[in-house]
Amino acid sequence: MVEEHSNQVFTADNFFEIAKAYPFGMSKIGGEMIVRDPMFLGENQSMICAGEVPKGCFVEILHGDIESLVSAAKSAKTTAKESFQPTENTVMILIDCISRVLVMGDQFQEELAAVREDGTPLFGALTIGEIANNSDTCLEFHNKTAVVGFFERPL
Amino acid sequence: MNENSKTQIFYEIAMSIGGSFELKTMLKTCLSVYMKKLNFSSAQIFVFKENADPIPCFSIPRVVPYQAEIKDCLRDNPALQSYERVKQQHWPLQCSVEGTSYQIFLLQGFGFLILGKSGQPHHEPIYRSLLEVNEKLSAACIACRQKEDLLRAKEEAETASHAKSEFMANMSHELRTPLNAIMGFAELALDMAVDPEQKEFLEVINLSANRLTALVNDVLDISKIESGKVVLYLEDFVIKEFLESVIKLFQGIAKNKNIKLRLQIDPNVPKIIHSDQQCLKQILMNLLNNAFKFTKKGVISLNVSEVQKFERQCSIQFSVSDTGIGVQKEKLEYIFESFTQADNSSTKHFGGTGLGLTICKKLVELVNGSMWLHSDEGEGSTFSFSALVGEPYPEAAHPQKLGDRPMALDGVRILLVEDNIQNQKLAAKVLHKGGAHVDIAGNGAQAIEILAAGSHQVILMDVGMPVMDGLEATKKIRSGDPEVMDIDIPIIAMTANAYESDRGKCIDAGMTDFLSKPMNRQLLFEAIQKNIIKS
Repeated sequence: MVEEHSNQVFTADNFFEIAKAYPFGMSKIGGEMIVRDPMFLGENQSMICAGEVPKGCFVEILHGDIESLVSAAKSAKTTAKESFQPTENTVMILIDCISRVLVMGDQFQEELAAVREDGTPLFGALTIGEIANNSDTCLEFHNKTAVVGFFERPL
Repeated sequence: MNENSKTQIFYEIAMSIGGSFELKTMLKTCLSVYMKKLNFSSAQIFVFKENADPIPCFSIPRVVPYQAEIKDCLRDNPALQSYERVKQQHWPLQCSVEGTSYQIFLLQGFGFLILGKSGQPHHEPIYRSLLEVNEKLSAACIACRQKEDLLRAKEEAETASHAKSEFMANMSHELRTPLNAIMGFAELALDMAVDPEQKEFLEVINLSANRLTALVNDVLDISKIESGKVVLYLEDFVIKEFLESVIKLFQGIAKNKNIKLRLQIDPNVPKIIHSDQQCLKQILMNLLNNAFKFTKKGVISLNVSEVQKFERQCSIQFSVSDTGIGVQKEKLEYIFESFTQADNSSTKHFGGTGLGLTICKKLVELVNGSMWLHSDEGEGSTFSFSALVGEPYPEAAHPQKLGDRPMALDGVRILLVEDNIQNQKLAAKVLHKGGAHVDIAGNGAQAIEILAAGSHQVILMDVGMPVMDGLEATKKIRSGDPEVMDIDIPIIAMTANAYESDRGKCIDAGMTDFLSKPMNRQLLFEAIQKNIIKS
């Protein structure tokens, strides 16, 4: 399916090159997907993913391109901004999964540009997997997420 | 969200249930799936307790907020007081604490599952679907608990059985000590008796004591095996010599009963094998004894062949066939059980404890083999067993020869250390008869005093004694106590503690050899001679 969609053929050494744009998605109630990046091929036709895929779990094959990745980061910023009143001391943080950056390559700059707010300092990190803990639901380990946060710099 | 995805989610939840038979592991796995898939903030299990409030048994996260409130809710909710009467369609019950809604599900026959969700609860159909899934969860919880109960019961039973074996072993040991005196003195008295009637009485005493010893030995054997105290003593030996020595023991009875006795060794059987001679001998003697016991005329044969070859090991099959009464078909499966004889009345005809085959079977298991029986009633029986034996180590090129050695203790100076007066007298008599000079010490401390005078060639040392026991005395002698003249004197342990571990303790203390009671005259003389020659 992936070969057909991407017009590329898997060879001995290009697995992640193609797979990085086609991660797996595991459904939760309410429509949210937990993403799992296939990293490389294991023994006996297995795949090693960056995080747990429970036994018996259904997965869908997802696809993203640079445009959709950038727009997702941008919408994360919009959502974050909605519940925040910026002041002069506002600082932004951006946590980006490394697998997104590997898809975007040099065009990662486009995402930075889309997230950046004029006059607001932006800092962040590229990470391997992101842990979500909002105390309302069970701890969850994510792949391929972009997290944008606004906060007030202490004086 | 489409119906298809919902079905998938509930399928995944259902699949996560019952993945383990360990309750906590099982709950941890499946409740995290419940929570992750359905965005719950907490999941708790309470179990029913007779005449008390349900008690918390498991929860994710470990500390659930508002735990106390939920407990109150469980206690105060009148519906939960009589939850059996709450109709199926009214589940789950709900309670709400500080913006978190808690759904209480019944796990039939086990307890409650309480799922907490921040903000709005899910729509009704989601909880409906969970009702179905939870039926599976309660069944899985009950299965886990039953498995735990079973395991506990099994452990208790095994502990009890082990304790029984220990008890039997100890008891048999206590029985052997007085038997030792009875047999020994009966034998001595028999040597001296002139009156034929007295002789006859003494022979009966001797015979009965012998039979009692055999029974006690059987019980001790079984208990030792069952309590895991039998240690194999592996050595290289010539299988032909070994088998001939066993057959030789039965030639007398074969002649008396006019039964042909044959030994056949397949040429493919290795000449020298590495195994436990005593163990194999005991099995073979038991089987041959049975064969002679239940055969009136005809042939008894012992066949030995190699059945399978492995690297440095091979499986050897031993078969004892007779032309005796055979075993009824329906009795075949019970024949290896303790205290069973094929015909219960046969005990009266043929004697025996009914423990022989049980011992054999257990011994065969020790030598990594199996045992089976082929029999036609009235035609005869063939008892076969296999044993996994090693091939000899190349450096050990001198297999032990079996055979009798001449016995005489002329002029040997022996120090006998023994606290029991009867045993003192008995051993002294036996040794005197063999021509030895015997000095007697009642405990270890006395022994050391006597040794100061020197001139003894060997010490026979009891282990359990008052004042100073045999182990301590041996250590003192070996440590170079200034009173002791010869610190390297051979010390032979003589004890009723017949376990391999007891032998180890004696050897560790510095003793040279080990004999178990009841005393066997020939073995005793052999041990004394061997140790004197060595030193």
